[in-house]
Parts: sequence; C-alpha cells; structure tokens
Amino acid sequence: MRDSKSSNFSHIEDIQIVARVLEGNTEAFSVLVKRHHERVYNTVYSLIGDLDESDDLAQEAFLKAFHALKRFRGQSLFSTWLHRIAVNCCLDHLKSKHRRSFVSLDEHGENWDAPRIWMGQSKDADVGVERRELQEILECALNDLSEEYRVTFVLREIEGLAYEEIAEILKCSIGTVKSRLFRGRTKLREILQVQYDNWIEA
Amino acid sequence: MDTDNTIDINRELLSAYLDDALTKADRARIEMLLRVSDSLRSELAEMVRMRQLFAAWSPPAPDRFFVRRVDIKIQEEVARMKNRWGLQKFATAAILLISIGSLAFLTQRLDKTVEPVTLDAFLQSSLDREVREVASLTEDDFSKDRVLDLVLSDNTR
Repeated sequence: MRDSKSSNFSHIEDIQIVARVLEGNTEAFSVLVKRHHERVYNTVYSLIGDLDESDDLAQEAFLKAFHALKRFRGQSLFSTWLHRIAVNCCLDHLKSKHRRSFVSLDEHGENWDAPRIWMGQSKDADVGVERRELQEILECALNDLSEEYRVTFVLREIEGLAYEEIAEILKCSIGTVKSRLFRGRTKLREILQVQYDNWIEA
Repeated sequence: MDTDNTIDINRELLSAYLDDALTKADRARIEMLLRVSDSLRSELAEMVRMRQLFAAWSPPAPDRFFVRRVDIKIQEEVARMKNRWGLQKFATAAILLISIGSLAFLTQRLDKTVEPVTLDAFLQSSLDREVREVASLTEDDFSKDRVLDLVLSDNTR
C-alpha cells in the first residue's frame, strides 16, 4: 500500500513532495527518506566515523527535517537543506562530546607499516584486506583533522559539493571554504606524511 | 624571490585550482606559475594523488532497514503530535466548559439573593406590615401600659 503510494511520487520533485507532507500526507515523507538516506548517511559517517552513532544521527537528521519542514522555503535544493541539517546534527554531536577516535594513528606506533596497496605491492588476494586497511587509515586521518577542516574536506572531497554549496551549508564565505580546504589538505598530508611519502615514491 | 606569504597564497590557489574554483585571472596566474615552478607542479601532483586516495574510500552504506526505522519514528512522531493536539483541544474545551458553568452558576445565585426592590414596593410592604399588626391587636393591647410598651418599642426599633 505504502509502496504503491510512494511509487506515485517517483517522478515528482522534492519540493512538491514537501508540499504534500505539509498538506497532511505525512507518509509522503518516506519518499524523501528513500531518495536521500544514502547520501545523508554517507555524509554523517564521513563526519563521525562510527556506525552506530552515524545511524542515530542520520535518523535524527530526518526527524529534525520533518519537524522543520514548515520552515523550508525552497530557496535552496531540498537536498542542500537536508544536508545542512545533517551536518549541523553532526557538529552539535561533536561539540557535545569530546571527539572519539575509534583507532588513532598514534595507536599504530612508529613501526606501523603503510598498506601495501598504497605502494603498488599488493597481490590480488590481498586487495580486500588492504582496501579495508586503507579505509581505516583514511578514516583515522580524517578523525585527526580539526572539525572545521574535516567538515569542509568531507563536503568537498567525499560529497563532491561545489564551494558555493559548502559555503551555504556551513554559513561561511567562499573564501573561508577555499582557505579551510587548503589548510585541511595540508594538515591531512602532514598526518599521513610517512605513509604518503612511501606511496608517492612508489 | 617569493615570500612565505606569497607561496601560501599560491598554494591556496593551487588547492582551488584542483577544484576548478578559480576566477579566469587566478587560473591564468596559477597556470603560468605551474609552467615555471617544479615545486608547485609537484605539490599539485600530490594533491591529485591524495584526491585519488580518498576517491577509493567509500563510507559504508546504511543497512536495508534504515528507511523503515525512520518511517516508524516519523509515524510515531505524527501520532504523538496528534495526541498532544487532542489533549490540548480537550483541555481547552474543559476550561471553557468550567468557565461557562461557573459564570452561569454565579449569575443564577446573584438573581436569587439580590432581588431588585423598588421604593413603591418597599413602602407597600411596610404599610402591609403595619396594617397586619394593628388588625392583630386585642382589647387588652389597648390598655395604657400595653400602648406605652408598643410606642416605646416602636421608637426603639
């Protein structure tokens, strides 16, 4: 029943679905969740780096969006507006607790080896393991960035947002986005320096 | 010779160049610098490689029940809002009823306790009382002492 209702919305713009929800068809909100949940979840995970917390925060973002729907004026894309809410949920969450690093790079110690996939030494059988290792290292490096650099970097590099969109989400100037991206990239390179040098040399 | 500040500005431009977010003038400037600066070219190459590195990183997808969980929470929220709205309406109606009831009760009480009395009615009622009192007198009441008592009691009333 719900699916048949949802399928009616398949070719309808987000803003029209928002109007339906505001008219009282609250089930239509499910269509918006289906359309945007993966991207919202990815953004939240990129910013938080923890599965359970990301799940909770992504749900919270949708609930907040549902409550705030009356305030959505359609001046920006619904996805941009939703992302802003998700990012703000993450920023509030990060502020409310000391950022938790699930595995810090420091914990690997000085003798930690860069994954061979970086250096092109990996055999096919190792690729899966190496890739997981690489994922973990990148997550750790992201976790070690300051919040403002991390958020800006994730929105640009992982989410592929334009500078204008990032500036809109973070309520800052495009110049600030440029500056944060530059500094964030520089910091990331410093964090990954040893492994990165090996990778570059390879 | 470039100062540290100029180098930083150029590197910041390089970062924006990577994102194709430069003005025409800045892009021309950085492309000119790239042609002559090995270090800047090397830095750009490192930025590109780092981008490739992060392109290989894919955040995990939400589980397949995620949408359902959000749906349930939204519907719970809707039900809660409806209940809250219903309770508010009930409370408002109850307060209104109590207010109207109290007002009606007070008005009724006021009607019974304070009957409007005109001057004519008051005089008529006093006259009637006097007549009744006189009619009820017996012969003994006209004795000298009794009349004196009545007069005195009237004066002290």
